Amino acid sequence: MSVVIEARDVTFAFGQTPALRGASVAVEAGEILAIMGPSGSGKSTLLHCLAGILVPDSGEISFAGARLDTLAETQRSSLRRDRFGFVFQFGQLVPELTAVENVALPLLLSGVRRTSALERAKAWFARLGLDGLEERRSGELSGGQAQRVALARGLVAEPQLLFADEPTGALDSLTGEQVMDLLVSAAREQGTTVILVTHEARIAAYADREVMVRDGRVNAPDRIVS
Amino acid sequence: MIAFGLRLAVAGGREALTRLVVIAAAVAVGSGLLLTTLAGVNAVNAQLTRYAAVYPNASTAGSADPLWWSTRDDYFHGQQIVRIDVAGTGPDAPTPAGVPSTPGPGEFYASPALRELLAAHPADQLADRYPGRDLGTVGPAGLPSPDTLLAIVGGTPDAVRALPHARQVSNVGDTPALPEATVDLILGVIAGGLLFPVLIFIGTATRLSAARREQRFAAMRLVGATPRQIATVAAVEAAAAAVAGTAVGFGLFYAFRSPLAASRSPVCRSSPPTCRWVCWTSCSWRSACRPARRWRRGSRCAGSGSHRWASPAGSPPPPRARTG
Amino acid sequence: MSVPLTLLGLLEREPSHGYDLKRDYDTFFGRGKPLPFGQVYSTLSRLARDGKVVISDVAPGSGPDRKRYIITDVGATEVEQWLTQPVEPEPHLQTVLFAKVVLALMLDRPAADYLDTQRSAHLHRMRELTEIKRAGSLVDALLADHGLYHLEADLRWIEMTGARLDALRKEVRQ
Ligand SMILES: Nc1ncnc2c1ncn2[C@@H]1O[C@H](COP(=O)(O)OP(=O)(O)OP(=O)(O)O)[C@@H](O)[C@H]1O
Ligand SMILES: [Mg+2]
Repeated sequence: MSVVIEARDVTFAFGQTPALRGASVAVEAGEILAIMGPSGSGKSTLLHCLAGILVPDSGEISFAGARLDTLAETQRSSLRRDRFGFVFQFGQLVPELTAVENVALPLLLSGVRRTSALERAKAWFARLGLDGLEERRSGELSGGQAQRVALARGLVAEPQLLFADEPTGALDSLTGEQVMDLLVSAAREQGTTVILVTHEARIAAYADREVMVRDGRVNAPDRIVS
Repeated sequence: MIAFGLRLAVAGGREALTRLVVIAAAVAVGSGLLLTTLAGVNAVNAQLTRYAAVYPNASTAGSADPLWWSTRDDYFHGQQIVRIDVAGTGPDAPTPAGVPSTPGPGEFYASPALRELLAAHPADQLADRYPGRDLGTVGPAGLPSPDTLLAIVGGTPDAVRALPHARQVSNVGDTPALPEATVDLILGVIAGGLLFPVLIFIGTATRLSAARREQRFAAMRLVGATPRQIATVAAVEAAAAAVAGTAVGFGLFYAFRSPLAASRSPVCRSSPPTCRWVCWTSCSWRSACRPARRWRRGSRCAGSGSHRWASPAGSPPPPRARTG
Repeated sequence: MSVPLTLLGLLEREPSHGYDLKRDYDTFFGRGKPLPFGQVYSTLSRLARDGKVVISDVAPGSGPDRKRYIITDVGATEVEQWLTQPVEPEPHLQTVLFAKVVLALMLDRPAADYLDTQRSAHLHRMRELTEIKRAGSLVDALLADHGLYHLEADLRWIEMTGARLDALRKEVRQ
């Protein structure tokens, strides 16, 4: 298997607060990787650096063999749009749009015609058990439903990489596990690589492998021989 | 992206619509007040200029030949008639506003309202007060109001000099009554007193939605909207509110202009400050139609030709303009 | 898991032969550890001796499966009591883990590394259970969940302990 995205010795500080102090991690194609660690350890920051949302102070991010952190914001935007998908904890749906428009948003932004974008978006509703919710706005969805809509949006453009930051953080255990189940199934089906940030072991157990972030560094545990 | 921005602003659910309406309303109030203010200042200035044309200050500056001038009040059946006696002292003497030339001895001009009154009554009751040749009608530029009863009567310099309030003037009606600095001051006070609170209102309405907007743009950035796409959407949204608000502002302005312009009640005649203010406002609305129309017709009409005159029936002239 | 009470409970559904009881027990509760026939019959005869079941219509012929067992009122009362009373909330004191951590600290060994290794082992097992849960039936999923939640509890203890190792070190080495 080949490494699809990699962080090498990445440091990042929010002003005076260091969040990453030399984090390195490599993710293989098709893998589902869990990033675990205590609160404030830098998990989200690492994820944002990998996704090109934040630019590291030092170190390198490479995606598909090319540097990502040196690209211009516009290029990183289009990379995010075309190759990456995102599912975050909450507040990621555009409140003014209906559920189906939210799902179609990445397609619309990359210039797909509205009718075909909406059609592709609709196909996800049955798949994720969201039938009949197409025209609801995000305020009219339950947390679990909203999260599944977000998942559909993360996957609708068939991204190479899905970034998920505490995707079940706001959900109860059962709903959270349903969302994870759908996420893993869909990702496996599409061959999408998933980087999943969570501090919950039960959620991390859906991944193929986990790494621990502590104080802005990544400790990968020794592989357990199965 | 433009269509998408419009879609977000207009069809974004009840909350988005409420937000749009609140901001648009704020802008409407702002633009309506601005239009009123400008129209009002314009109206007052125009009105005062007209009064100044009827009661010019004595001035002998310049090399021009002065004009002897006397303004008197005359009454007929309880109605006030303004009588102006003039006498030119040379070829360079100024011409009163609203008439093509200074009437000579035994000549006169009459305002349209006076002309009607003259026609309606036997000569021995009224017309005999203005003996001599009737040269024509006093134009709007020389009348404080369309229904003013006014006559400009020619005389010899010696005769006019002997009249009460006689004065020599070397220019009439061609200077604005309010100096530019005064207009600026009035505008400034109005801006501070009226527009500033409205601006704060607009600011608050916008800020209330700012958090929500920030969230929306963050969500869009997340899924890969480029900075330019976000800027476009933001601009379209802001423009939608601004355009809608300005349109409503003009709509309000037009809707209230006509009834206010028509209501020239006799109250205006009395002098307590509030009444004068009411009168002032109604006059403002009336005159306001001028710039507004000009705007609508693409500045085709300027000057008095397009001035809309209120119904003269039974209305007394406005009081004398007194600043303060 | 209490075998006699479980068998009694199964009998409360309907009178059954020993073979049926074993089959149902294995299906729902065995989980890769089938109940030996010998244990089934010895348990049943003990229950019969205590008056909690009776044997009905012994079929002609030989072999253990001639007998059909019926639960008695005494037996039913016992099942009822067992089901309605809560299980003793036993504190699963992590005695082994705890002992290892304390000893590691006393001996100045890397206790944190030990905890990390334990965490990976736990997570590894949790992944296996999650896989079972995703692939299997609802019964499998619920059993897997039971295991998962217990492992998760252990993991939380591991996290907490890991975060307080320094304080613990001071306490055990003074
Ligand atoms: N926007 C920000 N401004 C300033 N400091 C920040 C910001 N975001 C994060 N930090 C700091 O950076 C460090 C790492 O934060 P990060 O969000 O990556 O943690 P995390 O591991 O995701 O935590 P959690 O599990 O609570 O989400 C923390 O010390 C945090 O306080
Ligand atoms: Mg985080």
